[in-house]
Amino acid sequence: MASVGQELLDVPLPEMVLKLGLGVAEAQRALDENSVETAKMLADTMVPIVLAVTQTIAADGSVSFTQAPPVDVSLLQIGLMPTFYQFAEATIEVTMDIKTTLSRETNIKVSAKAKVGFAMWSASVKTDVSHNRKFGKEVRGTSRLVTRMVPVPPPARLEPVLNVVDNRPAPVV
Amino acid sequence: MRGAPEGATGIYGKFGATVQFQDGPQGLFLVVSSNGDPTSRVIAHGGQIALRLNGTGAVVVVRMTLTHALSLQRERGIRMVGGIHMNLERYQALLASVGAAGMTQG
Repeated sequence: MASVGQELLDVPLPEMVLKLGLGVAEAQRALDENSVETAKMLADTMVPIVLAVTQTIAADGSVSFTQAPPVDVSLLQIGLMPTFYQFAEATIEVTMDIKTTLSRETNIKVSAKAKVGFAMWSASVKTDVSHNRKFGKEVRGTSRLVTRMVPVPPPARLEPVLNVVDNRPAPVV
Repeated sequence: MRGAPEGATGIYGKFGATVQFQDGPQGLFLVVSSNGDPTSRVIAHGGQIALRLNGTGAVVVVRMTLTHALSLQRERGIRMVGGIHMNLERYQALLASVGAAGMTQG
């Protein structure tokens, strides 16, 4: 019968770690692809936004509003960014419940028989002895894989850097 | 996982294992539908419409948990569900670049 220590050694821990690692890598790739798709969608979706509204209060107290012409900008330009996720932690828990039993059973059966006849008699005694030894082993195992996912900042240079070059002449004071 | 939202107790069997998602905080998600307005499906999965982005209503920004977003992603007709967030620095940079100004006195 294998020992409890051997049972613990037989847990396929390297295989579990390998499969968890591959699973995390595959999930990470799918998450990144989804975030890139989201970035493309944000870049392709244009919305008209009004960037300035001017409120004018006339001398007679009347108020009027004029708005700047709407400008078409992408959602990415406005500042909506895709969220990237990253697996921050992965844990493997293996719990084993090992139960071994040993039982012995001895059965003794005794029977006696006697006969009496014409000046004769006979007697016999019969004994049966049996021994049974029973070994039992019960192994129960559960494993638990826990991963924690956290949002992380988007990679640098996801969006183009905006540089403004103002060539207007300086105002004369 | 398609169908009714299951939330924090959402458990489904996969590859012989029991997979469970724990609910996190709510976030913003961009939802793109391939067959019209996804509002009813978003609400069915515990989300709230935060913004409608085009005339057809097929692109919306919703507020929901990641768990619900993952279950919504499996709905038929939902083309994409992606997490987004607002970068206020970039928004301020956009305003500055297009010359958006505050109140001026004439």
